[in-house]
Amino acid sequence: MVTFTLDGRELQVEPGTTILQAARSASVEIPTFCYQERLSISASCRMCLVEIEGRGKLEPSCATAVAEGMVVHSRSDRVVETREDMLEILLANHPLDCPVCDKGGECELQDTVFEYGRGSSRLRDPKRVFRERDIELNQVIVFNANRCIQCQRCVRMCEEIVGDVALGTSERGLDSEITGTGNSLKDCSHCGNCIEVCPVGALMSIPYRYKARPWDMQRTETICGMCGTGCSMTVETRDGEFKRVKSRFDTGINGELLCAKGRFGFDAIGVGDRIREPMIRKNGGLASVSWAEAIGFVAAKAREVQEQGGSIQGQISPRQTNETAFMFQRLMRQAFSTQDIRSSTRFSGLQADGAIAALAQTVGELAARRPLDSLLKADCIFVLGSNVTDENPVSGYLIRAAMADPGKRLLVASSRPCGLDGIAAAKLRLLPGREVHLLAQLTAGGQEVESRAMAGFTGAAEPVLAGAESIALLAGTEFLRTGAAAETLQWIAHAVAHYSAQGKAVQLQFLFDRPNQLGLWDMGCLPGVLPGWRPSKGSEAPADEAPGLLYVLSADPARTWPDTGPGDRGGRRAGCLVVHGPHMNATAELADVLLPAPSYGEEDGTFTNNEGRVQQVQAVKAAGYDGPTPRQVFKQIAQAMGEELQPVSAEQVQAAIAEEVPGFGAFGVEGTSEVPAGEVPASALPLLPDDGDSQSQERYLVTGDGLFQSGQLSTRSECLSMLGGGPYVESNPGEGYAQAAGALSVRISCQGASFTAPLKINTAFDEKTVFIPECYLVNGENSLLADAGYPPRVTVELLPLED
Amino acid sequence: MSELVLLKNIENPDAPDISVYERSGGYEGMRIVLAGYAPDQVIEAVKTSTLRGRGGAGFPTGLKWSFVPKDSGKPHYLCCNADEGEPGTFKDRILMERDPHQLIEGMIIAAYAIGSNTAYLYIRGEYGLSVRRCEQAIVAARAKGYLGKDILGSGFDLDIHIHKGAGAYICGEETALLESIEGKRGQPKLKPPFPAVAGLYECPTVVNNVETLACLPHLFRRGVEWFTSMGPKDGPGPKLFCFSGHVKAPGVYEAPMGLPLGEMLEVYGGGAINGRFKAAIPGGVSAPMFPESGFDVKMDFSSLAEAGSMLGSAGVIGLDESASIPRVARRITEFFSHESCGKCTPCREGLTWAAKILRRIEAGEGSPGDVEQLEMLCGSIFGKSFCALGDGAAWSLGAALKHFRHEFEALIPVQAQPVQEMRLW
Amino acid sequence: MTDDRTVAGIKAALAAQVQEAAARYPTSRSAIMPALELAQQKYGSVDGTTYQAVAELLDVPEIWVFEVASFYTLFDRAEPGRHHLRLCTNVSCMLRGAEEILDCLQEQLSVKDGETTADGLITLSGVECLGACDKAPVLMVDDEYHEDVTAETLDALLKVLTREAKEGAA
Ligand SMILES: Cc1cc2nc3c(=O)[nH]c(=O)nc-3n(C[C@H](O)[C@H](O)[C@H](O)COP(=O)(O)O)c2cc1C
Ligand code: SF4
Ligand code: FES
Repeated sequence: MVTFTLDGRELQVEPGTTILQAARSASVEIPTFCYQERLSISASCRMCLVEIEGRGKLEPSCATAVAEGMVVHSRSDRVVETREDMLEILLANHPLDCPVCDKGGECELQDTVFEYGRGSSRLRDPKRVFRERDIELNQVIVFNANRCIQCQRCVRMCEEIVGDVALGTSERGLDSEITGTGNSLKDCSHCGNCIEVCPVGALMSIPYRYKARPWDMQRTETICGMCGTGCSMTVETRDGEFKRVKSRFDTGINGELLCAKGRFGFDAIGVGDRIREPMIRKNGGLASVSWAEAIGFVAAKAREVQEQGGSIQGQISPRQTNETAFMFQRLMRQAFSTQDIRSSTRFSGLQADGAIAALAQTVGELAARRPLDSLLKADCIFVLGSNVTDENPVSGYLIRAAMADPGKRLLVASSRPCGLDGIAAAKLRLLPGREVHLLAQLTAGGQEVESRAMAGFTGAAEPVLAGAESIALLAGTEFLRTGAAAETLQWIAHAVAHYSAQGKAVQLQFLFDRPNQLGLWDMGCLPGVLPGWRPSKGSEAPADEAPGLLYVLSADPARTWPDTGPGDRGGRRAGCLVVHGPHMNATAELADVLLPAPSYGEEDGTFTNNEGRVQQVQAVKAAGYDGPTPRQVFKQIAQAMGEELQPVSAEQVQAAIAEEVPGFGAFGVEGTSEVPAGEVPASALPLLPDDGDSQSQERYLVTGDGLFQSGQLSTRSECLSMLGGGPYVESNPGEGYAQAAGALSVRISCQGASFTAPLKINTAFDEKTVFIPECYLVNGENSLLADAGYPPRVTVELLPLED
Repeated sequence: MSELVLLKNIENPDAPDISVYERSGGYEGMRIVLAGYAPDQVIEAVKTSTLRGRGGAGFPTGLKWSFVPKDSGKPHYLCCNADEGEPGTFKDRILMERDPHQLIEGMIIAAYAIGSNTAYLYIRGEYGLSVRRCEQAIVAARAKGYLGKDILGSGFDLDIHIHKGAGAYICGEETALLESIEGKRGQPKLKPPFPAVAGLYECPTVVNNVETLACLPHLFRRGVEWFTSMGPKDGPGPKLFCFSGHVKAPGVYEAPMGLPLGEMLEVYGGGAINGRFKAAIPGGVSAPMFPESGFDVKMDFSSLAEAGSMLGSAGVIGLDESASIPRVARRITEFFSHESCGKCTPCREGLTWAAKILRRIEAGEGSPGDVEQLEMLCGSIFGKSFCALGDGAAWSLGAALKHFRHEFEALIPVQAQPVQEMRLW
Repeated sequence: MTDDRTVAGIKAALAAQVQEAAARYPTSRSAIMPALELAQQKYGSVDGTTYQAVAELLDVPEIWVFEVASFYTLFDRAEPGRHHLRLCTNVSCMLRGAEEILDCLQEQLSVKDGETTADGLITLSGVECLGACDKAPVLMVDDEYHEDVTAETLDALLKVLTREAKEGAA
């Protein structure tokens, strides 16, 4: 500890603490502009200059470490006068257009001038006018050069955290201007973090432009509904109307960081083709009925199926809250007496033998429930099987930020190019399902190496892993779509045990692409697994044939059912299909019963993010229908079946959860949990599709979310749809096609189904994979994914783009 | 005039030829060092010589070298600062054009001392001839085995690469120079860490001026005692002075340090063109000017510092009776505002504002209160800017205002309205 | 000075030299300045296509290239005239008449500081100290220094440049 004096107060701080940090932790305000926690220190705005006894010059407190015995004055006459001078100089050229500036009311310059300024100025010469007009840097970010104070926070944010290097500075001196070049802006992720860190009204959000004033809005603190990173955000509305999403440094896993989906996707809330009243299929058409009739109908059907010895299946969307999920599984288990509860139909690999047990072991027990932040302190960060920067962008930013430590190493093995490839010590393009081979090669050695790329990766990764004292293993979930799901889970567990046995601190976390995937599983929304990952007694393997009744809560499983023609209910089609959800979708079209439900943003509850942190989600608007909440509906259905299903209210449900899920919401910070000594998994390495020869036109189709997609939710966002630009196929068509960029479309076909969309060339892909964002695989096209196993082999044809 | 050391080959058009250079004792200093000194001993010798940097700040060279860690495990770099952009300064160009091997030899000695196997010679982009001469010198030295692997069997390897600047005075500031070599905008970097610890590519780095390095061959050929016998004790050695402006005999001169400014202006500068000198800038435009009444200041590091100015780059600019100080001040301020890198608030905004006011005053559109505003601006820049560019600009403008306030005020029309304070809210 | 610059063309033309420059440094970013200089030597100026080509050759973000091109004044981002006259107007030259010479040049060429003559022959720029203050005023004609410039030597110089241009055209 270092002892020093600040404004006459003696303070003790860790060595290396800056004066600014020390001051802030002692609640001494020092104004700053260029300083931003997490970004490299610039010390250029000179607002934070303080007086240090014995030093002739004032020193920037943001960049000066405290030294033993130092005597610092943060409000001496000299310091106060300097601040006044800096502000006077800054304002000399700054336009005083606060009344029309979007930032008015929340502008750091405005606030600082009020607090520390002189109140008057003698600098009366004409101001510099950079530009008459604002510049739209892209569809969501607009720049007013005149207001910029050159703090360079945006540029540092873009380069150091987001990794895009889309923004830079042109010219020098007073002509310095934040800018992007045509091509650098193409790399922009549209995350808007530059807007968030801009202290003045220089960088502004186009969707929010001139929409509202900060003081007119209601604020709701909630958790993003896009992916499992679980970012905290503030949703601002005026008179119930959504205006914008903001983020604050001091809240949540993300601090002020958000991705494009989180920041610009909230306009999806409340729009879309809503289910507004209960309906029942009568004479082939859907007819509105009363709640009582609909509920009675469902109860009667369930009873009927039970009596006839048929099966019931429940499917729940991983955007449902823990509270609703917990009661959903109670409805299934208590009223419907079924164990067949699924929470993501995309993870078809979980249907294989042993997969759920492996999931319980690896995800339920082994995965670390502690802040990502603490995992990222590891010497080696290993991202396995995830394009984290597209699917969990903010996790990606946090990884990049952690990588600022030059002692750290990053390994990336994923099916798609990942934005972190460039800073990885080794990277590998790996078909989903082959994680097993990679882990076997790394931890058990001796396996036959099937590709040179994998050998190259292991060659580079082995010394990194061997040299690391701590490892953070961040695993994606794409492999859960493959037939190798169980084995992969086992090998992941083995890898954790293997490196732990070497005395390394190994921590595992999963990167889920949905906001409450982990929570749903914790709540027992899995066949044969009770809340808290307890095995359910006497559970039968879920029936393979079509269930007598399928109860779908807010999900859309029909999207991946093969489309065998209109009227055909499909081999998988249930005897009775109950769809309980907010929107019409492919499944709802087929439903026998429709029950309205609130969408994300319309109900309170909790989500459990990838870290295992249980976070409060809050409604920002009223539900888009009149009627009971899903939990009330569950209760009424059960009641109609003669069952008492309790409780309903959030507090009581949470209490019930706490009873069944010991340690619910408990969330560690320190230490590592005991890792059981692992054995090499007994299972033989699954047979995987071979590499495929590059001559053939056959490729592997992989899917998932892109930067602007989060399944169907994002398709309802006008802003994200605009940024995403509609359906596309991303691939690397190989040498010679660079000129064709923007001029080709691609037809992907497989077993009679096909999908045609413009080609997006990405030379970082390997030549054997093509990518289509999952949300575009709708209707007939989805059968590209049906049955063929994952990843399916598809035929790729390049076609001239039709206008 | 005393013996010429740095300029001894200056009149010989063949001096850039390596054999001519060698005949005049060239590369002997390097041989002596490589054969008889351990790197530490070189640093010790330079420390003992109290050689001070000729680039502007006058920092003791040996001391700077001694900050380079011995066991960093990283490559070390030597960078020669040949960005010479300080108005009134042209000594480094003369050294590179007329006697480039002297510099190359100095670089070899310095690189050896700090354990650098790669050195960069940062030459400002306008100095085409210097670039060509230094390139040729590097090729010739390499051919002789003075550069490359295992120089003269010493086991020491060195490559020198030229990095051409492209028009930015700020790149003379050592950390900006390093950023520029790294391929970035030339903006100064935060210190600490100092370049000696984390400089070029975050590796230990020494930046030295051309003239500083050019002293080294002589120091080692003729010995530390010889070196310390020249000029003032706390900063001895051969020294170049540039004379320009209203002097009759502009040019580079090698002269002992410690002579009075006024005397040097007469003896070397050849006196004023029009009548008498009314002021002189002693060390490039960053150095505050002296009015004639201050001409007895001695031209060495400490005397000038005590007198409130600096030896700087030793670019002496004479201003005679025909000079308008407000005009000179305006032009200097415009220079600094044009060259401000734009990083820090006071320099970026303040200097441009000062230039605006100065232009107005010169055009006869000044108001009472303008001079005070200029003083206020100087006060908010000096000591508060990120790097010494802002300091120098404010410092030199401040001196002009202090010594020649009457000249500024005389330009302000008598009937002009005083500057009004403007309420911001 | 062709204007049919394409990314592929620039890359093909400069690849070898740029790689050679990059080999002098541990990072490819360091070679941005040399690469821009090579491009400017070849094409007379640098532009958006150049930034993209350099960025691709060195595998660096394009904005880095643009930042450098716009920070340093010797990079011409607009096509300059056949000859670029850079007149030092800094203090030492100013004291010896540089500002008057600049006025005189502006008048004779009918351009303002920073502009190019209508016939595309000459670009005129007033610049900061060129480091030849003993020979003030100094005029840099392309990359050569002309020292102790006077109204007469200027006249002669302009005549030579114009004559050369006419001969070149003929
Ligand atoms: C704005 C500014 C410009 C400078 N320009 C030069 C220069 O052109 N040449 C130079 O050698 N030093 C210049 N310096 C000084 C360098 O920062 C550095 O102190 C010097 O190169 C160190 O070399 P030395 O110790 O041999 O003097 C400049 C400093 C500043 C602040
Ligand atoms: S004082 Fe500030 S703006 Fe000026 S050159 Fe130095 S860092 Fe750049
Ligand atoms: S916050 Fe310290 S200088 Fe800007």
